[in-house]
Amino acid sequence: MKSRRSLRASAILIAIIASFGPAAMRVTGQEAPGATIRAVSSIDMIEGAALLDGSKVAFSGEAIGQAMERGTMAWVNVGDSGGAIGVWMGADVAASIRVFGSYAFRGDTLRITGTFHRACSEHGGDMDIHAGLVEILRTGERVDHPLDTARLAIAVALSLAAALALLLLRAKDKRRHDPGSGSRQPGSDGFRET
Amino acid sequence: MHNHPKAEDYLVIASYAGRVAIGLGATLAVPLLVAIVEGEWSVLVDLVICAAACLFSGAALAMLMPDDARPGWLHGMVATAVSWLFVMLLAAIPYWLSGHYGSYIDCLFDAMSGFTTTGLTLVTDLDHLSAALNTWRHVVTFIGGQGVVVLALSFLIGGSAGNYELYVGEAKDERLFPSVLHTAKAIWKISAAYFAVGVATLWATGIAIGLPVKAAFYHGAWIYLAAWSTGGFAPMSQNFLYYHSAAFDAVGVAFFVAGSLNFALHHAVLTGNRREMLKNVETVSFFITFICLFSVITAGLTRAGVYPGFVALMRKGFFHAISAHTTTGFMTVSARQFSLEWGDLALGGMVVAMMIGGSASSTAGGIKGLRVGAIWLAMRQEIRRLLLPRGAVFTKKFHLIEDRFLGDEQIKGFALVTALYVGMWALATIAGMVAGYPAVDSAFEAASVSGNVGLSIGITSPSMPDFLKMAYILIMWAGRLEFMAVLALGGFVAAAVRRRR
Repeated sequence: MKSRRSLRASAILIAIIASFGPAAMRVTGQEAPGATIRAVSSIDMIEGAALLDGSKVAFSGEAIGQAMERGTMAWVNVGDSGGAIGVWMGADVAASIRVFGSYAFRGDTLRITGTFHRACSEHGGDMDIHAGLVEILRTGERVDHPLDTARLAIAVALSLAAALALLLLRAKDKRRHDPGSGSRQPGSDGFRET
Repeated sequence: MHNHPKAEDYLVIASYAGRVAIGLGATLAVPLLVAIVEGEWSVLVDLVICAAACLFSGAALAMLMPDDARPGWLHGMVATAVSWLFVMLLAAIPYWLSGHYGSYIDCLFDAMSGFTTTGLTLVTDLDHLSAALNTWRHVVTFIGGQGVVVLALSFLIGGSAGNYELYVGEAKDERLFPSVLHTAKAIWKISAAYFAVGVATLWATGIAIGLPVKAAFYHGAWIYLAAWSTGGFAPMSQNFLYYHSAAFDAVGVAFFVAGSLNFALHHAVLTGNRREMLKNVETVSFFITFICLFSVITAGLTRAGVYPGFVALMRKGFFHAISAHTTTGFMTVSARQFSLEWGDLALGGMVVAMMIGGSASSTAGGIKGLRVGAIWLAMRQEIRRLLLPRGAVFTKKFHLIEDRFLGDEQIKGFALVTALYVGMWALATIAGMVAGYPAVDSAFEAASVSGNVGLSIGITSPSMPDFLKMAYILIMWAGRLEFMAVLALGGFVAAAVRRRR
């Protein structure tokens, strides 16, 4: 309940910020005159880390993996098509993220507004964002991975062939190990011809 | 083996490669189990296709062994080189079926990167990879670290005397026991003991840093498999940075340093000979070169003003220096940060650390501490010889489990492999520059590929040219096998071609 309230408050605050100008900035990735928040991608942050260091950024991406709680705070890794970055946020805010990206799920799409650090002194030099606001733009969803029947048929056919081949190999190995057969185990004498 | 290969020679080599493929097929049981537990049914089908392909092709090839065959040392060497290429083709099947790779070359690259414990990857959207396929990536790395042939020797081929060549071909020439079979099994036992401790420790650390219990187990197991193998693969696209934890970094370092040590040293220490740690030429050599190179890297980072404060400098500088020197390749920065922020001095230190690498007969790559230590001792002796009166007699010795004499032939061998590594690194650097990458970036990536490290400065990506991907595949393969088996294969192919003419 508390987290929902904080989310709603975050949404209202970001709407106020949005209505005062940085809408164009988010589209272009350039800082609008007088604006203090830059809309950035992960590539912008990596390639322009020195320029962006310590500035307020807005970064949108998918919550991936898991939230990792550290006391009252938490790490959530957020990724876009160019890479992912760690976001340091309140544990209650992290708990409000419902879906994290994995094989079976597309995670919640978040917009993070916060301070970007090229090498955070608080976190051992990690590149990170300390979130001020976290918005959930889109709730995540399950991703289906249906069975491919053609592949299933190939798997069954190959498995049968493999079983047969292994049986034949076993029979041949048995024959070879049989002292009465007159044949030797490969390499059994360690003979070097060269 | 004859001067000109005959049909029987091909059959013997194919038969050995077949046995190795069967071994690979058996190891797919691990990711198959994960697929069942996680209900990843479409991945399960992909893995079954791969397992069946391994077992079918392996059994078919293994049956080719002529009854009266007499495998010699060249058969073993060539079979090792061929086996590594063959298992690369097979292990890449689930990668291709997953849809996470742009081409089959990318899949082959990742398979070879895994087997050689390099850890460079061309996978796309890693953060949405299935648990089963992630397990397969890490199992491939673990098998590669142990030795593909060691696996087959331990469980399939048996302990016949002629198989020592297979074992040596894989650059593991240290015998823990007189029998190669017992040695191969001892290597697995040592790894199994560390596996239990490693997974438990990383699992507990994962829970402590906030991972859910099940996720912490998977992450712990995957990271252990990669760390012990000095592999560098990680389950998330941010690699070690995903965890944002000094504790997790520290536990990871402990296990990848352990993985970079000689199996013979582990055996000695585990059987009570703890003083060996202090006397061993490889640990001494590693300690000295690491201190020197870490100082260079730290100086470079300090001069460039990359990290704010001592703690950040130590966490990033130390972690990457030790990751490079052990040829592990775990990273807590993004690849481009090396290029954009670290500066030439720090990168130079990293390149040398990656080239030197870990210990011989371990999971690590690179020139190896044994060769660096022995060449250094030989140089020192030569200087002494110049300074002492003519006719003075002294012996060259080094300590590796026992005191050993350092003969001229041995020094020549060490110097030759070192020269081959440096030559291969130079070629890989030129290949990177031909592809249009800057010289420093090319040299860094080349050192990573040649030394089977896995740190990337950003060159390794799905968009890099196919010729560079192929070149890197061959370099990873040759570097891991330390040239001998690859040169034997080259000689075999040349002889076969001459015969046809």
